Amino acid sequence: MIIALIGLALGVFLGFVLPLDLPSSYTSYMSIALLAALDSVFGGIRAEMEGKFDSHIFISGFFGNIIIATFLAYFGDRVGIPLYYAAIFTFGTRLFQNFASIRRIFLNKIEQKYYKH
Amino acid sequence: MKKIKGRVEIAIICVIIGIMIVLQMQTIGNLGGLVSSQRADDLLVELNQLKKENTELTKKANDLSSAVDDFESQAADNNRYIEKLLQDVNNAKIYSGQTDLQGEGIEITLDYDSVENDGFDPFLYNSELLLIMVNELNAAGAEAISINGERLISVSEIRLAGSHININGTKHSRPFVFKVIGDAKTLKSALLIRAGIADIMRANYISVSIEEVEELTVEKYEKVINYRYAKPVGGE
Repeated sequence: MIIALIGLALGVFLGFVLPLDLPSSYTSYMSIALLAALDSVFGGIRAEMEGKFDSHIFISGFFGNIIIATFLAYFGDRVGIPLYYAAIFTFGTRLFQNFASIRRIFLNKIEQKYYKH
Repeated sequence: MKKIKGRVEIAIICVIIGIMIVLQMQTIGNLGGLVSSQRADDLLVELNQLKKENTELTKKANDLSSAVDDFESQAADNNRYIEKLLQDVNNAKIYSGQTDLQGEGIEITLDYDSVENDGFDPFLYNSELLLIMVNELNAAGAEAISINGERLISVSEIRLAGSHININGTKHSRPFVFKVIGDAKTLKSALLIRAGIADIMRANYISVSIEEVEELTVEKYEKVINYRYAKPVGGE
């Protein structure tokens, strides 16, 4: 968990330092990709807490989710169907579910620690 | 060992997410915040309504001015003196830019050829170039000038106002189409002279295309000229 926060801080720092520039017309795709990425990370944290973490599934899910979500948003823009809603609903729901699981596991751990004695 | 390895991967991906978050925040910050689609829809409805109103009012104004013409011609039929007066009025209208004019001239189109949709608009940084161009055209003997349908008269302004350029109090943005009546060759050479206004504009990323037109119509000044302070000296 701590190493994830350190990574996030490093990423924010790099984002400010590196001379990257995103064309303004791509912001909507970027936001969808960001949501997919967050979903994957929460899923990864949850799997790790449950002891089911598999790095291959995690990494392929991370990039796969981002690519599919961005492609859906782009394709929806081209054909006039707001397909990015699908991505938002799916990833948003899963985000909350993952967070709920993480919370349960976390609380269980604390309970086991303090109520054993 | 396996647990630590898994965390390293999460950390690397967190780095990527951090970069994405910052990129997204900076881009949206540069845009000045996103307009929600609800608000955009509201504005669109309002815009359409105003456009409709505008066309209706323009139609009304045209009807009224044709009625005035009718009255004038009716009165002129009866009297020679009035006919002479009417001719004077028409001449005065031509000189003050209140009639459409036709004749030989050139059409200049100023635009910005962006390679990609980069949001840059050279006219916002060098709006004075339009004024210089008008000045050059007048110096070359232009008899009537309009920009995007706005006839330039003695009280016309060309001025940067926010992200638009105000001409005759109306907002305009690129492309700017100048219609100029005058000797086409003289006008063209006045613009295309080496280090002249066309070169300056091209140096400022504005694309200039000039076309000679044999029969050009320059629109009239649409607004009402109203002097509040200025009064003619002496009586009639």
